[in-house]
Amino acid sequence: MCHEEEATARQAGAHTHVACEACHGPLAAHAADPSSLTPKLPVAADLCHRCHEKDSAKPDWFPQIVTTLHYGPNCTDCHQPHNPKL
Amino acid sequence: MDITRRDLFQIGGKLLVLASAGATLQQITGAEPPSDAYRMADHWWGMIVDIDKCIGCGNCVRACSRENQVPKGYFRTWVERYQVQEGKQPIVESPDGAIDGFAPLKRTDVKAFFVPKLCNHCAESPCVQVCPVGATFVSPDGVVLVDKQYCLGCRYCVQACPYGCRYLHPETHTVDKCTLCYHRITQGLTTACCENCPTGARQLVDFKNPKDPVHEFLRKNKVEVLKPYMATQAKVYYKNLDGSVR
Repeated sequence: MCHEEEATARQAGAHTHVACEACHGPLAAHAADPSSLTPKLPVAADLCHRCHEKDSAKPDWFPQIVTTLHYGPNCTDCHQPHNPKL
Repeated sequence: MDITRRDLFQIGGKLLVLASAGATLQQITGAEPPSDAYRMADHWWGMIVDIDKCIGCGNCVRACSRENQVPKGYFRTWVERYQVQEGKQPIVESPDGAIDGFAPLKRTDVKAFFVPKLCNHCAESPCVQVCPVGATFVSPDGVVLVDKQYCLGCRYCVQACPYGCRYLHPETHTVDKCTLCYHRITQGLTTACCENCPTGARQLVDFKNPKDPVHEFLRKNKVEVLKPYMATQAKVYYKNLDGSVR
């Protein structure tokens, strides 16, 4: 199976219900023939921020941070995106 | 019972209309022919939306746009952010349909929340009623579709839709709208917006499937459709919908 490590990590963490394509974009062509399309790696800082930037309209149960008050701008320095627990 | 010639013509006419609708459904949606296992009569599609789970990330809007090649500046689904303050009109924003999400809201003196919107696939749809050429119709499995080969682009339906879910496609000059990803759901997949929702705030449901979680959802939660007073029999059910939402 391709991407087994990422899939296993995702299943074990809070992102288990987040579909691969939710972050990586539509990749049916890549799944059918990996050589036909090489997906671009998403920029984690942009991606994480879309969901996890603090917004008072977001439900309280959802984990949110104020990026400017948080450690460094690059989320993946500390978090593993497929299983974001430190 | 006596059958007159008039009755015979009427029945024949109805059969002809039904047969032609079935034959063109694939052309209308641009979908692959439904798999052999798929029977339209076995399904009645709709959607459930949990307001308390929507985080306004815009994933659904982006996924819909890419899946269905929605032209830039037009939306088949979009997300609104409400700011409700006592005694005042609510502030409703949806910058570019929220395709890039929202700028963070910092104020805490308002009740704020997100509302994803899309075609409500009404069973008694005003858009179907006003179409002068029958280009808009409800499919036997409960999806409101537009036959582009018949659509004149008169925009009656755009005006008739109480939810603002239709637009005139700038290239085809025919009306375009959410198809509930008909090309996907007839192949056993879910819609692009549901597939890409990171919190499961929106879910495709099949009211005719007795095992579908929708039945428990409707039984256990306080749900509402948008503008119930329009009596459109909308099939997009919202959990914990605030009264300020229009």
